[in-house]
Amino acid sequence: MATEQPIMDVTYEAYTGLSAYQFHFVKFTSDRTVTVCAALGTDKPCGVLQNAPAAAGAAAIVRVMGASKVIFANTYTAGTMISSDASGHAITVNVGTNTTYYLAGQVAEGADADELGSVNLNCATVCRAA
Amino acid sequence: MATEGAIHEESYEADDNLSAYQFHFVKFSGDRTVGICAAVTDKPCGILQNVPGAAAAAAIVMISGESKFVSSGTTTAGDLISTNDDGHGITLTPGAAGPATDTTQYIVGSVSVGAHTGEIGTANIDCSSPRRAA
Repeated sequence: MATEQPIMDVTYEAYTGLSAYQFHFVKFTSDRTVTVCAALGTDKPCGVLQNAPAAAGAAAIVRVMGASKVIFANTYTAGTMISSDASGHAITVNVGTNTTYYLAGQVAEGADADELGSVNLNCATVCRAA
Repeated sequence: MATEGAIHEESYEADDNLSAYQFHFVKFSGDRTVGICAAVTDKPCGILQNVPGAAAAAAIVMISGESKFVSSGTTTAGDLISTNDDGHGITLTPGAAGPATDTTQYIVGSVSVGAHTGEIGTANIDCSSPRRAA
């Protein structure tokens, strides 16, 4: 069972309809406006979308820090370091190999592809996996 | 409009009159004592929230949360930031060797509302464990 623990949730505006992207990684597109991460590892996630804003300008609740559910791109187990793939899904990061990827968190509860796992996040200070 | 929401704030002592440095990055200069960041490679412990008028006055420091900051150069939503040599927020490009070699600077936040030089922006910060922009 994927679990959650908010530490820092912030409400921004959705750049476009994001109703299909609850529990996906998002990034800033402009001041206080977010959209889904769209590059493998190299977008800087600002958090994980918690709700399902249906239109541009709607409130997008973003978990910046804390434990969050996230859709996994593949099967990952607890302890895996993660970033975002090109669809906003969590993807594993090999620190020292994927040196241009931004680390966003660590898996606390594993899951299979396209399922919800739990991740401890800190997207305030994402850093590269160098 | 710059906004704020604290998660973790502490009250320390100012090491000097810091009344001109509200919303600047500060660093530890002694036990529970802070001063303005004065080098791009300083490790910020947070952003000063008030205006302590003398040495030993209470300096309220936001360590993590959503804080205002004074911008150095133009900062844009999504930029990763550190401090410059005057406590202002400055954009980092991890891995890049710029005028200052970014790989030796410490990432402490992500801009949510951008600003121009000397203006107030907003950033999501966590200065509890600054990491270098390698």
